[in-house]
This record gives sequence, C-alpha cells and structure tokens, in this order.
Amino acid sequence: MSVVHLDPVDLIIAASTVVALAAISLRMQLGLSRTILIAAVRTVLQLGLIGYVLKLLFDDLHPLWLAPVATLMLIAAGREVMSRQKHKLAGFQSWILGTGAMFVSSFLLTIFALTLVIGVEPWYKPQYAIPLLGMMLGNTMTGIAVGMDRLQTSVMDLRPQIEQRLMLGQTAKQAIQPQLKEAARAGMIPMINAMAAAGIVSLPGMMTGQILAGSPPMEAVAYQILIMFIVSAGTGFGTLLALHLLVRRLFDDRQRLRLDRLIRSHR
Amino acid sequence: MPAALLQIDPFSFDWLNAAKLSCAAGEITALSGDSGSGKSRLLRSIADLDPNDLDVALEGERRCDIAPPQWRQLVQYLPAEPVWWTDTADEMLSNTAKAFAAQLGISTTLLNKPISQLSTGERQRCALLRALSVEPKVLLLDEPTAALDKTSVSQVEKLLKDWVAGQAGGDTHADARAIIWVSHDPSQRERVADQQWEVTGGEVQACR
Repeated sequence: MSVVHLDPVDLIIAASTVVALAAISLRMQLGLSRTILIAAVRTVLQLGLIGYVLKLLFDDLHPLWLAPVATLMLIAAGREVMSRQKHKLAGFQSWILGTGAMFVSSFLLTIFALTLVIGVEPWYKPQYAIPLLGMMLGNTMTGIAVGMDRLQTSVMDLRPQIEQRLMLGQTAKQAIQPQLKEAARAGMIPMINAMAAAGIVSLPGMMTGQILAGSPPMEAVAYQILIMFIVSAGTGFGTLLALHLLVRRLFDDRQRLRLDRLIRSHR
Repeated sequence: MPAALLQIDPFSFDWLNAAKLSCAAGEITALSGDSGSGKSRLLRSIADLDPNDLDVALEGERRCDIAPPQWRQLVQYLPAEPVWWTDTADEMLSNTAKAFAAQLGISTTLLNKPISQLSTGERQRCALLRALSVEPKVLLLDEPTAALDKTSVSQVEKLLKDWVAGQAGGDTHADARAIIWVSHDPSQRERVADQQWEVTGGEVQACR
C-alpha cells in the first residue's frame, strides 16, 4: 500500500478551515478566536518539533537521548496536571505527587508493553518507546488531573460531612470513601468509555492514523487494542496512586481533616 | 469528690487559656461565653478534630494512647449544625437510641421520613440520638436545644440528665458518663449543670 504524501500546501489548505472557524467566532464575539489560533499554532510548532526530535532519534542518535526527551515529556505533563487544579497542596507538593504518580504508572506500563508484549529489540527503540510513552502520559495526565481536582473540590465542598463522619467515630479512610470513589470514577470513566465505544462510536485516532499511513487494518487494530489496554491500566493505576497519596496528605497522623493544607490555585 | 472521667491539663493557646479542667462521672458541665469566644473551638479540640496539643485523658487514659476514631467515638462532639448523608435517621440509630426517641417526642414514622423533610428541631434531636447511638462516654454538646420549642427542650434536658446518670429508660449501656454542654440560656445552665465553666477574656474559668 502506498501513502499519499502530504506537502506543506496541503496543510495550509487544511489550516484554512481552522482560520475560518476563528473568523466566525470573532464575528459572533465568542472571545474564542484568539484561543483557537494560538492552539492551532501550538499544534504545528509542537508536533513539528516532536517530529523533528523523533526523526533525529530514529536516525541512529545515541539511545541515551531518550532520557532527556522522556523527562521533558513528563515535566510538561506534570505542568498540565497542575494547571487544571482549582485547589492544590502548598508549594511543590501537588506537582510532586501528581507527577510522581504519573511517572510510576506510565513508565512502568510503557516498559512492560515494550519488553513483555511487543518485544522490541532493543526495548528502548525510540520508534516504539516515544509514541507509546506519549500516549501513556497524555491519558494518565488527564486521569490524574481530573481525579485530583475532583477530590480536592469535593472535600472543600463537603468538609462538614466528612468531619461529621469523623465525629461519629469513622476512620479517615471511611470518612472520605464516598468522595474518593467519586474522584476515582471521574478519573477513570473516560478511559473505560473509550474502550467500550471503540470502533462503534469512534475510530481511535491512533488506528486511523496508522491506516491512513498505509498499515494493514488488522495490524492497526492489534496495536490499537494493545494501546487501549495499557493506556487504560496506566490511567487507572496512576489515578488511584495519585488519589491515595493525596488522601494521605488530606489527613494527619491523628486522622484530622487538614484542609488548611489546600490552597486555591491562581487560575 | 467523684473521680474525674475527663481531665484536661492546663493549656495556653494563643486563643484560649485554662487551668486544669475536669468533668466527673455522672455530671453535666455547662459551658458559656460570648459568641466567638472559642467554645466550639475548644470542644472541637477536645474531640481532636482540629490540630491541637491538648493533654486530655479519659478515665486516666491519655488521648495520644487511644486511636483517633475510637477517641472521637468515646468523646463525641455534637455540632450546632449536624450533617446528614443518609436518607432517613432510622438507619443511623441503635436500638437503644430508638428507645430514647419516644422520650424526645420522635415517632418511628418520623425516623423513617426522608431527612430533608424534617424540621430543624427534629433534625437536631435526631442528631442527638445518632450521637448517642455510637455509645460515647463523654458528650460535647454545642447548643443542642437551640432550635427546639419549650416542650422539646425539657424532654432533651430530662433525657440527657437521665443518660449521664445511667438511668435513662431503655438504656442498655450504663457506663460512667459526662457531658459538656454549651448553652446561652442561664436558666438552662442552672437546670442541668453540676458545674459551670465560662469563657471570658480568653480564659476558661470555673464559676461554681
């Protein structure tokens, strides 16, 4: 199967649709046109940059270069998580907690997929490692961001109820269980829905891209299934880990609810 | 003098000071003072809900040697505005508490009504029953009769006086008990209290 090559002119024509959308938003005074254009420019710059980095990595650049690239991706994802929190722990605690959970779960699962499932030689082959890690981080990031934000917001809103449970002799764990459950759901439901709806409601982007780029459909499907499994697991474990660590910070050694540790983010 | 059930060593916080305080078994201590003088905060600290380094002991056992959930169950704080998360009061009440309900003019029908349909006064009495359900030894009551009419006030006072003495009808657990009772009503304090504390000028003082 041959791939129809896309040249810059094709992309400029595609961009005209987004420009048209921005123009209409401007006319309707939605206050969105600037955001749309900036986001579109970011897409071009960021993807162009990562494409260039990948090209460099694929052309026999030393594999050690993987480390700084992966670190950068992690830091960027950690920043994204923080930017979505309405309340957060003072100082760098929230960042460390969210990024730490993201690191553990997405790196472990990526390495698991590379070594035990795909079995690439060597396992860190950038062509596989970088896109996989990217997809893991992207989804885990969303799960952790949504889960942490939901838990923090609901403990702020439902402080009287949680404290009432403590007063009646419940443990910290029992007292926060309903809010924890809800936050874990919020973080994980999008991934679960994506698995359930895959192929019926939506054609997953990665698979579509692979097919457009000329891969045989069944090959693309197999990879998509693999990705969905490890991405869902990674998102789930990452979210649960982040929430577990967050709950530990929300209570102290005498199991008191310590909302004084949460501050409002400047957003 | 009866043995102290609850004992608080002298403390000096930036918002409140006190010499040694103690509540004897079977006794009610009334706590009064202006709004904002720190009464609720003191009760919350005793129940260990806010960070504090009070040295409190229950029947001679220090708070730091008792697991926090157990401490809060035994030394139960009933806030002025209790919170509910169940559909009905009934599902939170022990059989003993259900036996107390009738003495507060609370019917079985009412216990099985959705909480949202109860009046403030009914909710307040149900919250008292819920607190009694977990079998505390010390009750820290924050204006428990604020939303009640005269009849209900005297029913609550009678039940609590009986309860603290281990003589309430239908009571199956007659441990040593004590109550600290925040009340703004001087005549109520006279009626129920065996001793009185007053918060004035950032200090808790025994006034009788």
